[in-house]
Amino acid sequence: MVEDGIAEMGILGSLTGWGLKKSPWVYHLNAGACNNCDIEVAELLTPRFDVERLGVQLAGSPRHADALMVTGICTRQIRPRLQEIYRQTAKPCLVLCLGACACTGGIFHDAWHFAGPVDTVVREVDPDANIAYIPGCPPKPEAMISGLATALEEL
Amino acid sequence: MAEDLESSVERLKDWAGDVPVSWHRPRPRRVYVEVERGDLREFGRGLFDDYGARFVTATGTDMGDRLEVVYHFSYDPSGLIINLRVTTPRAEGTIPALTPAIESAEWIEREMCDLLGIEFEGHPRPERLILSDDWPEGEHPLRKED
Repeated sequence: MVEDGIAEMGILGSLTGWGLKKSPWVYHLNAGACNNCDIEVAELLTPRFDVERLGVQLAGSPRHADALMVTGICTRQIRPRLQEIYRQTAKPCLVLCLGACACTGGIFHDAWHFAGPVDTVVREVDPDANIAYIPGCPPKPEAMISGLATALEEL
Repeated sequence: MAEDLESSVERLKDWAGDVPVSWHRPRPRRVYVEVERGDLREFGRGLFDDYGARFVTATGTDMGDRLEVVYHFSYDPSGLIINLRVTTPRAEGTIPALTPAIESAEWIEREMCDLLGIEFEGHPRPERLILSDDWPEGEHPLRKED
Protein backbone atom coordinates (compact mmCIF):
# COMPACT_ATOMS: atom_id res chain seq x y z
CA MET A 1 0.00 0.00 0.00
CA VAL A 2 1.47 3.31 -1.09
CA GLU A 3 0.69 6.59 0.63
CA ASP A 4 0.65 9.60 -1.63
CA GLY A 5 1.65 12.85 -0.01
CA ILE A 6 -1.22 13.93 2.20
CA ALA A 7 -1.50 17.21 0.27
CA GLU A 8 -2.24 15.35 -2.97
CA MET A 9 -5.10 13.27 -1.59
CA GLY A 10 -7.90 15.86 -1.72
CA ILE A 11 -10.37 16.64 1.06
CA LEU A 12 -10.36 13.14 2.54
CA GLY A 13 -6.59 13.19 2.54
CA SER A 14 -6.35 16.48 4.34
CA LEU A 15 -8.89 15.24 6.89
CA THR A 16 -6.88 12.12 7.67
CA GLY A 17 -3.76 14.23 7.75
CA TRP A 18 -5.39 16.62 10.20
CA GLY A 19 -6.56 13.71 12.36
CA LEU A 20 -3.14 12.12 12.32
CA LYS A 21 -1.36 15.30 13.35
CA LYS A 22 -3.93 16.49 15.86
CA SER A 23 -4.01 13.36 17.92
CA PRO A 24 -1.64 10.59 16.85
CA TRP A 25 -2.54 7.21 18.29
CA VAL A 26 0.56 5.15 18.81
CA TYR A 27 0.99 1.40 18.79
CA HIS A 28 4.04 0.30 20.72
CA LEU A 29 5.92 -2.75 19.43
CA ASN A 30 8.96 -4.33 21.03
CA ALA A 31 10.92 -5.96 18.21
CA GLY A 32 13.62 -7.49 20.37
CA ALA A 33 14.58 -4.60 22.65
CA CYS A 34 16.26 -5.01 26.03
CA ASN A 35 13.21 -3.28 27.57
CA ASN A 36 15.07 -0.09 28.43
CA CYS A 37 13.46 1.90 25.62
CA ASP A 38 10.12 0.44 26.66
CA ILE A 39 10.63 1.68 30.20
CA GLU A 40 11.25 5.16 28.80
CA VAL A 41 8.06 4.87 26.74
CA ALA A 42 6.18 4.14 29.96
CA GLU A 43 7.83 7.26 31.42
CA LEU A 44 6.45 9.20 28.47
CA LEU A 45 2.90 8.34 29.55
CA THR A 46 3.28 9.07 33.24
CA PRO A 47 2.31 12.48 34.70
CA ARG A 48 5.75 14.05 34.44
CA PHE A 49 5.71 14.06 30.63
CA ASP A 50 2.08 13.10 30.05
CA VAL A 51 2.01 12.99 26.26
CA GLU A 52 -1.73 12.50 26.36
CA ARG A 53 -2.03 16.26 26.92
CA LEU A 54 -0.58 16.55 23.39
CA GLY A 55 -3.12 14.11 22.00
CA VAL A 56 -0.72 11.16 21.87
CA GLN A 57 -2.39 8.02 23.09
CA LEU A 58 -1.38 4.37 23.14
CA ALA A 59 -3.60 2.28 20.89
CA GLY A 60 -4.44 -1.29 21.81
CA SER A 61 -4.45 -2.52 18.23
CA PRO A 62 -2.33 -1.63 15.21
CA ARG A 63 -5.57 -1.15 13.24
CA HIS A 64 -6.31 1.92 15.37
CA ALA A 65 -2.81 3.33 15.18
CA ASP A 66 -1.52 6.40 13.35
CA ALA A 67 2.04 5.70 14.35
CA LEU A 68 4.00 2.53 15.02
CA MET A 69 6.58 3.01 17.75
CA VAL A 70 9.17 0.25 17.29
CA THR A 71 11.91 -0.53 19.81
CA GLY A 72 14.60 -3.19 19.41
CA ILE A 73 16.83 -4.55 16.69
CA CYS A 74 14.16 -6.54 14.83
CA THR A 75 15.17 -10.12 15.45
CA ARG A 76 14.82 -12.94 13.00
CA GLN A 77 11.76 -14.23 14.86
CA ILE A 78 9.86 -10.92 14.86
CA ARG A 79 10.68 -9.84 11.33
CA PRO A 80 7.57 -11.32 9.62
CA ARG A 81 5.43 -10.20 12.57
CA LEU A 82 6.69 -6.62 12.29
CA GLN A 83 5.80 -6.64 8.60
CA GLU A 84 2.35 -8.07 9.31
CA ILE A 85 1.69 -5.47 12.02
CA TYR A 86 2.78 -2.69 9.67
CA ARG A 87 0.36 -4.05 7.04
CA GLN A 88 -2.45 -3.92 9.60
CA THR A 89 -1.98 -0.26 10.54
CA ALA A 90 -4.25 2.39 9.05
CA LYS A 91 -2.43 4.37 6.38
CA PRO A 92 -0.89 6.90 6.39
CA CYS A 93 1.16 5.47 9.23
CA LEU A 94 4.28 6.94 10.70
CA VAL A 95 6.97 4.47 11.82
CA LEU A 96 9.07 5.71 14.73
CA CYS A 97 12.35 3.83 15.16
CA LEU A 98 12.97 4.31 18.83
CA GLY A 99 16.49 3.91 20.17
CA ALA A 100 19.88 3.02 18.73
CA CYS A 101 18.88 -0.60 18.06
CA ALA A 102 15.78 0.22 16.04
CA CYS A 103 17.61 2.93 14.09
CA THR A 104 20.69 0.95 13.05
CA GLY A 105 20.94 -2.34 14.92
CA GLY A 106 23.40 -0.76 17.34
CA ILE A 107 25.86 -3.11 18.99
CA PHE A 108 23.85 -6.13 17.80
CA HIS A 109 24.39 -5.35 14.13
CA ASP A 110 26.61 -8.39 13.48
CA ALA A 111 24.80 -10.76 15.82
CA TRP A 112 23.35 -14.02 14.54
CA HIS A 113 19.77 -13.15 15.48
CA PHE A 114 19.75 -9.73 13.79
CA ALA A 115 17.33 -9.37 10.86
CA GLY A 116 16.84 -5.61 10.73
CA PRO A 117 17.26 -2.73 10.95
CA VAL A 118 13.60 -1.77 11.32
CA ASP A 119 13.49 0.71 8.42
CA THR A 120 14.78 -1.87 5.89
CA VAL A 121 12.24 -4.45 7.07
CA VAL A 122 9.31 -1.99 6.87
CA ARG A 123 10.43 -0.68 3.45
CA GLU A 124 10.26 -4.23 2.10
CA VAL A 125 6.47 -4.12 2.44
CA ASP A 126 6.10 -0.39 1.76
CA PRO A 127 8.95 1.36 -0.06
CA ASP A 128 7.35 4.77 0.61
CA ALA A 129 6.81 4.30 4.34
CA ASN A 130 7.16 7.40 6.53
CA ILE A 131 9.97 6.54 8.89
CA ALA A 132 11.39 8.72 11.65
CA TYR A 133 14.44 7.98 13.78
CA ILE A 134 14.86 8.78 17.46
CA PRO A 135 18.36 7.67 18.45
CA GLY A 136 19.60 7.19 21.99
CA CYS A 137 20.22 4.28 24.34
CA PRO A 138 17.59 4.81 25.52
CA PRO A 139 16.31 8.11 24.11
CA LYS A 140 15.05 10.60 26.67
CA PRO A 141 11.30 11.18 26.79
CA GLU A 142 12.00 14.77 25.70
CA ALA A 143 13.76 13.39 22.62
CA MET A 144 10.76 11.18 21.85
CA ILE A 145 8.34 14.12 22.09
CA SER A 146 10.61 16.24 19.92
CA GLY A 147 11.08 13.44 17.39
CA LEU A 148 7.35 12.77 17.11
CA ALA A 149 6.54 16.48 16.77
CA THR A 150 9.19 16.99 14.09
CA ALA A 151 8.11 13.89 12.19
CA LEU A 152 4.44 14.97 12.22
CA GLU A 153 5.38 18.48 11.04
CA GLU A 154 7.26 17.05 8.09
CA LEU A 155 4.51 14.66 7.00
CA MET B 1 21.71 -19.28 59.33
CA ALA B 2 25.24 -18.21 58.53
CA GLU B 3 28.04 -20.71 58.11
CA ASP B 4 31.79 -20.21 57.98
CA LEU B 5 33.21 -20.32 54.42
CA GLU B 6 36.03 -22.73 55.25
CA SER B 7 33.75 -25.21 56.97
CA SER B 8 31.40 -25.11 53.94
CA VAL B 9 34.34 -26.04 51.70
CA GLU B 10 35.49 -28.77 54.11
CA ARG B 11 32.00 -30.18 54.29
CA LEU B 12 31.76 -30.11 50.50
CA LYS B 13 35.06 -31.99 50.16
CA ASP B 14 33.99 -34.60 52.71
CA TRP B 15 30.63 -35.02 51.05
CA ALA B 16 32.05 -35.24 47.51
CA GLY B 17 34.67 -37.87 48.37
CA ASP B 18 36.66 -39.05 45.36
CA VAL B 19 33.96 -38.48 42.74
CA PRO B 20 35.37 -35.17 41.33
CA VAL B 21 38.31 -35.46 38.95
CA SER B 22 39.63 -32.01 39.89
CA TRP B 23 39.24 -29.17 42.39
CA HIS B 24 40.13 -25.55 41.81
CA ARG B 25 39.59 -22.63 44.20
CA PRO B 26 40.75 -19.42 42.48
CA ARG B 27 39.12 -17.14 45.07
CA PRO B 28 37.93 -17.82 48.63
CA ARG B 29 34.25 -17.87 47.71
CA ARG B 30 34.50 -19.87 44.50
CA VAL B 31 35.14 -23.59 43.97
CA TYR B 32 35.35 -25.30 40.59
CA VAL B 33 34.56 -29.00 40.75
CA GLU B 34 35.00 -31.09 37.64
CA VAL B 35 33.24 -34.43 37.34
CA GLU B 36 33.03 -37.14 34.71
CA ARG B 37 29.96 -37.08 32.50
CA GLY B 38 28.67 -40.30 34.00
CA ASP B 39 28.74 -38.89 37.53
CA LEU B 40 27.09 -35.58 36.66
CA ARG B 41 23.45 -36.26 37.37
CA GLU B 42 23.95 -38.06 40.65
CA PHE B 43 26.51 -35.47 41.82
CA GLY B 44 24.26 -32.56 40.81
CA ARG B 45 21.26 -34.14 42.51
CA GLY B 46 23.26 -34.66 45.70
CA LEU B 47 24.66 -31.14 45.64
CA PHE B 48 21.10 -29.86 45.42
CA ASP B 49 19.20 -32.28 47.69
CA ASP B 50 21.79 -33.43 50.21
CA TYR B 51 24.43 -30.69 50.41
CA GLY B 52 21.71 -28.03 50.11
CA ALA B 53 23.13 -25.74 47.42
CA ARG B 54 20.80 -23.65 45.27
CA PHE B 55 20.90 -24.10 41.48
CA VAL B 56 21.56 -20.71 39.90
CA THR B 57 22.13 -21.26 36.19
CA ALA B 58 24.46 -22.94 33.74
CA THR B 59 26.80 -21.74 31.03
CA GLY B 60 28.05 -23.50 27.92
CA THR B 61 31.27 -22.74 26.08
CA ASP B 62 32.85 -23.96 22.88
CA MET B 63 36.44 -24.74 23.97
CA GLY B 64 37.61 -25.91 20.56
CA ASP B 65 38.12 -29.68 20.74
CA ARG B 66 35.70 -29.94 23.69
CA LEU B 67 32.38 -28.43 24.67
CA GLU B 68 32.11 -27.37 28.29
CA VAL B 69 29.09 -26.89 30.53
CA VAL B 70 29.38 -25.29 33.96
CA TYR B 71 26.45 -25.62 36.35
CA HIS B 72 26.52 -22.84 38.92
CA PHE B 73 25.33 -23.52 42.46
CA SER B 74 25.21 -21.14 45.38
CA TYR B 75 25.43 -22.18 49.00
CA ASP B 76 23.73 -19.19 50.59
CA PRO B 77 24.51 -19.77 54.31
CA SER B 78 28.19 -19.02 53.61
CA GLY B 79 28.05 -17.33 50.18
CA LEU B 80 30.09 -20.10 48.55
CA ILE B 81 29.69 -20.44 44.78
CA ILE B 82 30.17 -23.98 43.51
CA ASN B 83 30.82 -24.37 39.78
CA LEU B 84 30.17 -27.90 38.62
CA ARG B 85 32.14 -28.38 35.44
CA VAL B 86 31.67 -31.13 32.88
CA THR B 87 33.06 -31.41 29.36
CA THR B 88 32.33 -33.53 26.34
CA PRO B 89 34.42 -34.21 23.22
CA ARG B 90 33.24 -31.98 20.37
CA ALA B 91 32.64 -34.99 18.13
CA GLU B 92 30.23 -36.57 20.64
CA GLY B 93 28.57 -33.46 22.08
CA THR B 94 26.44 -35.32 24.62
CA ILE B 95 26.03 -34.67 28.33
CA PRO B 96 23.49 -36.31 30.66
CA ALA B 97 20.72 -33.82 31.43
CA LEU B 98 20.47 -32.46 34.94
CA THR B 99 16.79 -31.62 34.49
CA PRO B 100 15.45 -34.99 35.74
CA ALA B 101 17.21 -34.25 39.06
CA ILE B 102 16.80 -30.45 39.16
CA GLU B 103 13.71 -29.22 37.36
CA SER B 104 14.80 -25.60 37.08
CA ALA B 105 17.64 -26.60 34.75
CA GLU B 106 15.14 -27.33 31.99
CA TRP B 107 15.22 -24.05 30.06
CA ILE B 108 18.93 -23.36 30.36
CA GLU B 109 19.70 -26.85 29.04
CA ARG B 110 17.35 -26.32 26.13
CA GLU B 111 19.03 -22.97 25.44
CA MET B 112 22.50 -24.55 25.46
CA CYS B 113 21.20 -27.24 23.13
CA ASP B 114 19.95 -24.54 20.72
CA LEU B 115 23.04 -22.37 20.77
CA LEU B 116 25.87 -24.90 21.10
CA GLY B 117 24.32 -28.10 19.83
CA ILE B 118 25.02 -30.04 23.03
CA GLU B 119 22.65 -32.95 23.31
CA PHE B 120 21.35 -33.42 26.86
CA GLU B 121 20.59 -37.10 27.25
CA GLY B 122 17.45 -37.85 29.19
CA HIS B 123 16.06 -34.32 28.98
CA PRO B 124 12.26 -34.56 29.28
CA ARG B 125 11.46 -31.88 26.66
CA PRO B 126 14.42 -31.46 24.30
CA GLU B 127 12.65 -28.93 22.06
CA ARG B 128 13.79 -25.68 20.52
CA LEU B 129 13.59 -22.81 22.98
CA ILE B 130 15.16 -19.55 21.83
CA LEU B 131 16.15 -19.90 18.19
CA SER B 132 13.67 -18.47 15.71
CA ASP B 133 11.15 -20.85 14.11
CA ASP B 134 12.83 -20.62 10.69
CA TRP B 135 16.36 -21.29 11.98
CA PRO B 136 17.87 -24.21 10.02
CA GLU B 137 18.00 -27.52 11.86
CA GLY B 138 21.48 -28.58 12.94
CA GLU B 139 23.03 -25.09 12.89
CA HIS B 140 24.22 -23.67 16.19
CA PRO B 141 25.13 -19.96 16.30
CA LEU B 142 27.62 -20.12 19.17
CA ARG B 143 29.68 -22.96 17.70
CA LYS B 144 32.95 -21.39 16.71
CA GLU B 145 33.50 -23.10 13.36
CA ASP B 146 30.07 -22.14 11.97
